[in-house]
Amino acid sequence: MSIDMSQFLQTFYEESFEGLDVMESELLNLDAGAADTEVVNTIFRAAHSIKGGSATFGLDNVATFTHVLETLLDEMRDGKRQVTPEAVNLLLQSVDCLRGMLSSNRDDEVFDQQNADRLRQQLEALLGAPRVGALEASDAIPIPVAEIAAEAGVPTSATGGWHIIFRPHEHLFLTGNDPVRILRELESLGELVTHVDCSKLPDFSGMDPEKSYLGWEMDLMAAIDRRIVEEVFAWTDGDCDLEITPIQDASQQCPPVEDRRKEDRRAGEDRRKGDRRASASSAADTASIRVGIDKVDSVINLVGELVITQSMLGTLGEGFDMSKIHQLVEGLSQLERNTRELQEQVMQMRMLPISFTFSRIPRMVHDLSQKLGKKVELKLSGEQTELDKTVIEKIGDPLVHLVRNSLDHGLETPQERIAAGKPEVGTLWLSAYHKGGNIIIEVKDDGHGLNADRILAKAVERELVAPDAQLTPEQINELILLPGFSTAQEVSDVSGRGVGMDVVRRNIQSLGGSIEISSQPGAGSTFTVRLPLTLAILDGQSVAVGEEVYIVPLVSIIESIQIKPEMINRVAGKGETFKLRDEYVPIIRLYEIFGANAHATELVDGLLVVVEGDGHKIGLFVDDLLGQQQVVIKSLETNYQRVNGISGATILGNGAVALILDVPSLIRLANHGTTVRQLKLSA
Amino acid sequence: MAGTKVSKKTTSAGARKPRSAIINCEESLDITVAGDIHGKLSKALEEKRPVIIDTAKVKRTDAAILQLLCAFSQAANHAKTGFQWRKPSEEFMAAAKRLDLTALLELPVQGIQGKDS
Repeated sequence: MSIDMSQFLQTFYEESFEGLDVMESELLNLDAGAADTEVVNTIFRAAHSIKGGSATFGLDNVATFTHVLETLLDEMRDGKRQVTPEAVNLLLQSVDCLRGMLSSNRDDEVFDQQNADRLRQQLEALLGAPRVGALEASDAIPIPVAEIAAEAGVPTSATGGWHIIFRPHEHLFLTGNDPVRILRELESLGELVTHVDCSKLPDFSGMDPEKSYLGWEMDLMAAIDRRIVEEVFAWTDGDCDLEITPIQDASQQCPPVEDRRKEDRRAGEDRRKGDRRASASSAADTASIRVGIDKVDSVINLVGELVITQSMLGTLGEGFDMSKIHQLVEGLSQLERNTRELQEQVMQMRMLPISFTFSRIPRMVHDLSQKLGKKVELKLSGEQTELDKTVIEKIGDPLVHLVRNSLDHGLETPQERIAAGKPEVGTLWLSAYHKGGNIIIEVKDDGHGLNADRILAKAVERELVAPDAQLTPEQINELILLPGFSTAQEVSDVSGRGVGMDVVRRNIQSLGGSIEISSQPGAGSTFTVRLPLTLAILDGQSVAVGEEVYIVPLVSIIESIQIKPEMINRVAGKGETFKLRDEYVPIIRLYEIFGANAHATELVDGLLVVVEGDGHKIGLFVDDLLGQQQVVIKSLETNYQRVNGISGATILGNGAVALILDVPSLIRLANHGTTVRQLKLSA
Repeated sequence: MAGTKVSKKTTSAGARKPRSAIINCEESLDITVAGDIHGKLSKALEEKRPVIIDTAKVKRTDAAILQLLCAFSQAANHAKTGFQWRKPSEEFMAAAKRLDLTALLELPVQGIQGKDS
């Protein structure tokens, strides 16, 4: 029976990307010069897994590149090569390169092989450099290779090469190893002369096609280190008989490699029998999601209870009479409880820890702080705070921008900090926690804070505020969220173009969230992002417009008022407005926008729901308020088509469909003066 | 049966020449199909049918398959049923050469570039 290997390929890619995340995370934790062996080991194991898996699936470019990476890491974990900042940076670049390779292989796209070749050359150059404890050439006393070998007990290759006897055990194939691939890798090291031994090949009729019966004896003509040859067979440890002897020093053979390996195991140095798969935590993947078995069991349990309740109600329905009304009410109440619990559990399945979003930040802070010449300590907290998978995917870019802004504009250089009496190293806090049904994410720095005077001056210069406007410090801070606003003296490729913060706010608002800024001059700034825990459910205010019901997101509502005639103004070219305290707010008649038959067409006969979006307020004219409720959002785009002014739909308790309003879109619609029907045709 | 024409090939000795069993190999010829290939080749041996192995499409193969075909080669020669290769792909031949199995498999030597499989 043939097996479709492609189903495993997807898993390989997922695990490899997880492994790369582990490598990156641990590389950032490495202390150059005093590296933790266990950390290096973790990085090595991740690379080792990627190499083996990519070779299994025939991704030769990945396997070959990872092989060099792995050799360097192996020397580092053995203490034979120092962990220098340059080596760490090179390894980080290599991780990026591997990500690109895997992505291009997965998506069948062209990859920049030149960059990979360049990195590989740099890695090989690093491998070619003297190791820790190597003698300077001028200090070296020439010692015959044979003497060194005898003294160390380890044969090394001089100019000849290696004689290799490779006899796989019968079960080798079942471990995923393939001699074709192994010998191909040996060929890449030098000229290889191979002789097969098929003395153990049984009769065709009696053989098991999945067992290995062949062996090979090879001469590898390459002046390379023995470890490089051993590494080729790393995955076959315990699954073959292997002898590697130098061709020139055949007379001084040390004990066969297999015996030496047994000694290594006794000495507790057998690392290759450790984890063969990266044991990283799951990564957020737009194509799939990993769910803990406990969550799945909980859902299965709840479905079971739902079935029982449904069965009970079904039995009750047969021959129902009014004497059983209490049982019916009880049954419906039970059904409601089951459904709510099931809904909560299913929503929990989509919840992922925010660490998936935070994981990008340490690397970015590391690279950016080096680029900007700043010293920064990043402190993370609340990484295990869970939120909806979709929110996690979409909050990443805004968070990255906030962190970049803090690094570029908030935190000072070491010299500036010392001059200000601060520690040389700046601190950036990134934290997340639950509060009141929302998730709060804070980006806080101890930099020089926002310069309120400069912000206000720039806002006046750009006519965003009146010169005599009296603004609170918080209102001044929020000016930086306006489009095109930037007080940066220079535009760097990091930030300063003024196109970031307004996009950040818009992205956060599109998630149903909000952003607040607080700052203290000289002490630092805090950006607080508030997000709903899930995008699938919305807290909404249902409103009636004629016979239609619409849902207004609660997060957008400021207040609801009954309008009085003296509050209404009509402005030529701008339609109707009403005076809300000290500002004039445009009125949007929803029945006009959506072409509904409203019961109230006079403003005084209905209600105004004042909402805010994109920094603008409008008043939505409706017939009546119906109530607040949680609604499940159904995509209109998926089930029908995209409609401007509408962000989705929901099904009410009576089975009717209610459309969920898209407040920012309505504001834009109102400014254009078109109806939804007109725009729908062009959507 | 009356009216039924049967075309048959005959050898010079007058005996009916058995029809060849053609094994068409797909792009990936590896351990995942080894059991299937073993079955087909075994059947051909039992029926004493010469085998034609078409590896023109093969882009990827492994030691398990090559080993299997070596054993079959020996069995076919011993049983004198014979077998032949039809358009062995470069990748297939390169893999066989890598494992030093070209001679055992009786593959043509010419045209092997040592290309990766």
